[in-house]
Amino acid sequence: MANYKQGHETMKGLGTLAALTTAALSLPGIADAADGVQFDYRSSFYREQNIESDKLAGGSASRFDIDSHYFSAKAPIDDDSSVGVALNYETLSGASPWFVLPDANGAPVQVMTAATIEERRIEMSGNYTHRPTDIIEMDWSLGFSGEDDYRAVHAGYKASLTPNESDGRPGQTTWSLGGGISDDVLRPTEGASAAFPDRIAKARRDSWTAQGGVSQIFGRTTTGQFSALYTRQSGYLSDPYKEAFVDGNREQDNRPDDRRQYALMLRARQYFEKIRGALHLDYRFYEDDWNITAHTHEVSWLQRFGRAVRGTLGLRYYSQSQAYFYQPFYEQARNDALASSDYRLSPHAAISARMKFDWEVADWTFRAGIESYRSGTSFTLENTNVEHPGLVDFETYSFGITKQFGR
Amino acid sequence: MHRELPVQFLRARLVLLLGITCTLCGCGIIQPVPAFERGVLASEEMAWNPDPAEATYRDHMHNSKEAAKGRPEAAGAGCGCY
Repeated sequence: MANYKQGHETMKGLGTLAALTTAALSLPGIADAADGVQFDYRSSFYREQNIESDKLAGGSASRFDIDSHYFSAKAPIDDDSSVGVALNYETLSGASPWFVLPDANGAPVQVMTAATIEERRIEMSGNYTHRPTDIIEMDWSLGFSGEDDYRAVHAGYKASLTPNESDGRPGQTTWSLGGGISDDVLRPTEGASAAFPDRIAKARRDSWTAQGGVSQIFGRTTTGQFSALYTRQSGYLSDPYKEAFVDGNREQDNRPDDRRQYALMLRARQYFEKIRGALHLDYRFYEDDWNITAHTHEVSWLQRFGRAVRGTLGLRYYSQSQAYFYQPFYEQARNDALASSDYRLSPHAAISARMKFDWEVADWTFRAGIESYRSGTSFTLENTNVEHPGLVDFETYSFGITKQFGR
Repeated sequence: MHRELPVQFLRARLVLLLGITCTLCGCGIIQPVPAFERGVLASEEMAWNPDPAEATYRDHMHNSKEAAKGRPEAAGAGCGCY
């Protein structure tokens, strides 16, 4: 069936762009990069839970699976610069939400596609990092992501400055700036075909991002970070595979062709030497001009066991309001003709818990982790009357091996 | 109703956060840390992302289910088209 990949194309460009706009935001003395040559392999398995029968009006009850294989390598060029390359290969299969109908009682129920989606995605990227002085670091990146119906090219730049203290000590404050652009092209399957005449045949979307931040060492065991991000998307931001139920008819998903997004982030790290554990606290405030406001809270505990093993426990809470044009279904068309019933634009919240272990043996590190994610409306920060029937629950299982040379 | 850009809203938060930062500095919360005492800070446990590859993957999964974006270390290209 050709109606696969119901949606979420709008996520493509931004995710691609974000990959390139990672601000350095590092602290002096905290090394993220490998000193020597490093090879890394990760495999991750994403499994969505079946949609509940009382929320399903048609299509497959089973949802999506994704298997990911990620390879990366980093190597120094000289004392002041290094390069990195990465390759990510994913296979995607299953069924996806298509549109929402009212049932006999007027409650929304989900129509899914058939479980016939088969897709592959490959992404390649590279970066070059250079430290012209002890207090400045710059990074350039370039990447490509391709699928049958989508391709994105992106580039990014980031820089950080850590000025020395007035007494000559290494600085405790790092200022960072970054930016990126992405150029994306959509060619939906069966676009403008006899089966789907209203589906676009080809469209473009562009994005750019700017961000800045400051990181601060507060003491021997305490650090904090504040950062801000602005993203502008323009072009075709609708989902070519999704439809909305408007006044008894199915219509193509139709969103504004411009979006401005803002985010403010606070992060703190505290180490407890006696018990060899670290507390991580992260908070993000998000708002955009589609009227969506979101709060993300995350707390993690990292515990060292002996010299070789580190365990991580984490809890994440997310809550968002809805886009101003979103409805599960429309009793009548809006005056501006916008219409989207994507559950990502609906008011909802999510809680996820994770556990991970890292085991170091000589120059090898072995990793294994699991995360469980649950979404709904009963625990949102704002009152929500109607829950979207397509909200998803999923698990991820991840494994990894890292080899370090010359450390 | 389409809302105007939340510039004033964000500006108020920025002022608040900057105020908190200045207050912390003024209260002497920032302690001098010489280079030789930064061993703990250099540990992986204290990194913003102890495992950047994992953070990339997680952000990609979350971003594909949620409307909000914007974590600086968010990464993992592709759509999350599922």
